[in-house]
Amino acid sequence: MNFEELQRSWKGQPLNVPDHNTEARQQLAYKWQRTQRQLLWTNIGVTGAFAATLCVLAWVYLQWHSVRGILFTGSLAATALLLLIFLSVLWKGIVLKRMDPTLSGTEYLKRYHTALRWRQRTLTTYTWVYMVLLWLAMILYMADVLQEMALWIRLAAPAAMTVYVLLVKWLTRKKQQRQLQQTNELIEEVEQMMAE
Amino acid sequence: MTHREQTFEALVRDNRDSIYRICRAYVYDRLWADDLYQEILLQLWGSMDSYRGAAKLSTWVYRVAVNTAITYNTRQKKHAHQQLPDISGLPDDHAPGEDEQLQALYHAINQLEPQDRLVISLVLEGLSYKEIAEITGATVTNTGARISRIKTRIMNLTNPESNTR
Repeated sequence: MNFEELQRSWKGQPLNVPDHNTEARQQLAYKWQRTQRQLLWTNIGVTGAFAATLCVLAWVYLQWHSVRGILFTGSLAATALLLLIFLSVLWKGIVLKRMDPTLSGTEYLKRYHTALRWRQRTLTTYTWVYMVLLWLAMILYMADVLQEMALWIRLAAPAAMTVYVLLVKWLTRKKQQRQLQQTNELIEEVEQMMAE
Repeated sequence: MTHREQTFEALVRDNRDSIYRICRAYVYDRLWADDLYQEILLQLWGSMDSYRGAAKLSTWVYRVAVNTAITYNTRQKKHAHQQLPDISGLPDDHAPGEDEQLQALYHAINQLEPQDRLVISLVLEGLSYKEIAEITGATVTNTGARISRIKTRIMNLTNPESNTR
């Protein structure tokens, strides 16, 4: 058989294409709107939560900055900055969910690859750096706030904070490992496609 | 029905068979192909406003279909491409001729790399090298060379006896 015969056979094959009636069309429109809304509301929700946290930080600063030292101000500023960085990373992550399917194949793969690399770096490096810096900011804050307390409180509070951070990290390690493995597999697959 | 809905209706009516065949070429399994087909319709619905008429509408539709297929298959590992059994192991309950040819073709497509599966499905749909280059973003020369390589592979896989001579 030659290629033209194969082509005829391909185009003549019996198909059972899913129905596309009025109901299906309406469902499609509804599904699209719902997906868009979900994306938006998730981010607005997280942004709102962060905004509330920033307001609390600002309030704490305004209430006590005149009676506290440089560690107090520095730790609050560092925490606020870290929250803002986290928020920008979160919004950048939307790129993965909003890939423009009308781009040319090469451009589409390139952007997909960039987005996946960003996710990979977030999982392997940025999350760790974020946790350590946040932990450090909290330790500095405690060092300032608790300086007039008893020694055991000055030691126990940072220790409790450290245990808490380590515990959170330990509890989420499997999820992170799974996400990282999936991301690595996707990157490998996309790179293979790009090389083809 | 709104103007947008009417345009979408016409777009689906004119391209549904081609889109579905691309889905089958890419994921083969009928259930997954149905799922991918719905995903492509969803993306077409969402992207309709961005069509500016720079390319032919069908080229634009294929572009959305191909990109959606790429993301669909890579994102959803549970939809990892199903490997077909060896051609000799395919069920023997079908009439020889057209059907057998089609089975052989599906089997051959299944042996290709994911990107090549998409390219050959566009070739089988009768698109020109230029149109395929527009969809994939490669140059026409590279596309031609690539298609030639894939065609040779397909012919070798569908005619194994001619290969052993």
